[in-house]
Amino acid sequence: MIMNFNFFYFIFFFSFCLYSQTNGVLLNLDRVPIQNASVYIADQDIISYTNEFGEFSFSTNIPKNSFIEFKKYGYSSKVVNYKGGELKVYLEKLHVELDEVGIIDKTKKLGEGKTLSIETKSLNNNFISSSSLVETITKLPGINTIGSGLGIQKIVIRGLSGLRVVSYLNGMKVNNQQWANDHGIGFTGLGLSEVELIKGASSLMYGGEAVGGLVFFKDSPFIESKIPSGYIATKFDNSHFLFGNQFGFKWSFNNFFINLYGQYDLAADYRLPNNTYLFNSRFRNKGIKFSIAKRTNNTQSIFRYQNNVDEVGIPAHAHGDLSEIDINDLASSELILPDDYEATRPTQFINNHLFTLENIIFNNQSKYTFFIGHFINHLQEFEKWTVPGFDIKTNNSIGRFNYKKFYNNFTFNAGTSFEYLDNKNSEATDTLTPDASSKDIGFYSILDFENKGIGFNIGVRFDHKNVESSDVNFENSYTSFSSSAGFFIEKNDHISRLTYSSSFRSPHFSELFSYGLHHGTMRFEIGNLNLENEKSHQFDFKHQWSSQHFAFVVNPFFQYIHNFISINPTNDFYNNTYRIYNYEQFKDVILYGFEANIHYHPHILHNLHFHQSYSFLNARNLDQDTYLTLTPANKIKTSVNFDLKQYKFLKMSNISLYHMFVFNQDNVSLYESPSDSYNLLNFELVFNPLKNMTIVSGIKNILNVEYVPHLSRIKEVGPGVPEPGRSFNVSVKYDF
Amino acid sequence: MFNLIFRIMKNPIMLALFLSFFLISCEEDDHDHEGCQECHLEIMMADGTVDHSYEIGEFCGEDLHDVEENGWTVVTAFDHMGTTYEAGYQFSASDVHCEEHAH
Repeated sequence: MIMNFNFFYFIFFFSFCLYSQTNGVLLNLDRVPIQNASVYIADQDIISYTNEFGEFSFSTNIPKNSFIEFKKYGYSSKVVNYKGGELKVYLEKLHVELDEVGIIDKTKKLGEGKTLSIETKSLNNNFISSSSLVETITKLPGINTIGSGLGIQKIVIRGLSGLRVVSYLNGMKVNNQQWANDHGIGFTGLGLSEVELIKGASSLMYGGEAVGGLVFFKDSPFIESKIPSGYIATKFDNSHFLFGNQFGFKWSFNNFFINLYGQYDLAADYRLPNNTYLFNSRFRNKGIKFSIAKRTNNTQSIFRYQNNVDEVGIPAHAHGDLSEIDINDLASSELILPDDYEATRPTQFINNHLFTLENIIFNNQSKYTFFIGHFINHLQEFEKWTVPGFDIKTNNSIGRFNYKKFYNNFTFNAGTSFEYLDNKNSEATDTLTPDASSKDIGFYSILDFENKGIGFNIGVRFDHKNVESSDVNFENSYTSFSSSAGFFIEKNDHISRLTYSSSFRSPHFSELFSYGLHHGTMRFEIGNLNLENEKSHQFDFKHQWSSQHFAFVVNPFFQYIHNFISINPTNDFYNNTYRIYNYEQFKDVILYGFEANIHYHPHILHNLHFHQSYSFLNARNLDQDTYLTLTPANKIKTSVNFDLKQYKFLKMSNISLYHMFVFNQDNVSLYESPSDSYNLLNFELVFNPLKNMTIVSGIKNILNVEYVPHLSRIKEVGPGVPEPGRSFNVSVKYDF
Repeated sequence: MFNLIFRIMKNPIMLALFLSFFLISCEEDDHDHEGCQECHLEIMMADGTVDHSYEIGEFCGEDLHDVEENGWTVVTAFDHMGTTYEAGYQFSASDVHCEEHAH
């Protein structure tokens, strides 16, 4: 037994005693050193910065075939596949000093090749420049949010959300009642640096169930620096009277790296455009996160822990016929502080713990990754003061192994994953889903090729899932294959890529076993034990072109889903109060549309950046010849950004204007009401009064528009409960 | 064996693991409410509508927990919206509502 334990210890915690160093220098094309550029080793998630001589160093050898990303504002980014020895890298200065336009060389966790269409969004300053994590991501075309206010928000990708959009946090799947629209994403932007997003199921490495898409959140990298660094930040947003505080701390010594973050947010009820306050839209969030990494020449171990505690009010909670509700009965005429910060009823209390341990072994042309993760989600939903309506604990464990091999221009990945999910109810007035568990084992292999402007990707995955619940005497297995294939061509700054992905999604506990009153959605839900796997096929074509001043992207897509699982209203009511909803399965559902965006930097005014994106979607239920429920309205999003650094005026560094036009949504299903069009206008100003200080101030919904998004979870209450009216926000961040 | 355990404890990653288990053990699940709340009844009317206008008073602490868990028994008969509820009539827990409303 001691030998087995030692073997286990060896696999996850062994380290070599010998260390050496990797040095390099970064220059521009005129061989002038580039100072303060970031040098990021993607595989090891470590970042360093160049000094005044353009030099950088890492305290251990960088393994061969590691991808290193070099980035500096005003220069064209570069990704180098490291082959050994000292590094001398040249970056081209951009003609336009703003963000790069169009095709950007970048490392990605979800795939290195250009075949996969992976969108990325920086989250580095998300806390000070955005109201929420989900709001930042919705700036990408095709992405929407479903929820109400800032307290309850979830990501929608091309009309699909909930169980079809799978979220990963540093490699660990987040399972937190995502099947219901009254639950948020389960974590904040604390310590995150970037999000990667695949629309559709092309990421086979992380499971085949992401029929709508996969969202991968990445922590901020570790820093190679003996001098501790970090930040403190605070913000105020008067739409919710929200006060938020955050800190971050990074340090490294002797190949040992630490990142530590903390956050506390407190929000009252949000103000509607008519200057009343939507009762119980308040929330509170506490979060702590720490990560520890240990490196040697050929290995890396990273342990991460995160705790996120939420108290979320459920606004617009009413009984009876929701369409008859008067919005004025749901809104307070004034805000009474500090009382309106305190949790009232109904409220969700959520406590999430996330652990991950990742070990990577580098061996010349190969890389071995061992990953284990555990996520605990505890949800208590109180409609009454002292007795929970629900008390559910979900435990999710994942083990994953991936083998990666580089050979000439080919990259081969093969691996396996095992997932165990357990759902347990504690004593409460209601039980919506019974105790249940599932086990899933999967195997995959993926081949990528890229050479001289041409590339392809092909992958296949097999999954076997077993679902059981002794409470309802149910046991069933679901087996399926997922696949993806694609190719790209790159020529003269044009890239065209065509991808196909097929995926399956087995029914979830909630869809199979629900039977009860769900207070958060004000409906009685009934599951269906006869549900089968959903099967999806998606075609996605993307063409992009860029020059120094102008770039455009065009992206049409088509998705067919067989056996689409949906929850639908009936004509019946429970207790004459709550409409009854049944889980059903539709044979044929199609979603199609296109997204496009353009970027422009005028030649006569390099500091000005204009960006516009378009997203159009049509979703049809062919069984009933109707539209699919909760299809987002079409949108045009425009942002104008002006860099002011060179003018040194009042220490202002940036000014931006953001406009969103949302079309009518008249393509609705049975019992769903249409939505009107609206315009939203936001403004933001950034100051740098001191070298390490950033102040952001802004106004959201400048025109104080009263609007109800089509995906609002409280759209059907009365005439629809609006989102926040005009609001002011200010944030301060100090980096040290 | 003790040597191995000691070496494990010196490893910072193992230390982090133990620390995080400690944090889990400190999780608080109680959301006890000590204050008082005004409660009312949700009464189904003959025409299928629901009435929320009958107040049953303020409840605090254990009394609040009791009425939310077990319901409310009529002490003194009363008439409401054309129906008489005799003493001893039992309203279930789902008929009793004590949540706050917009002010």
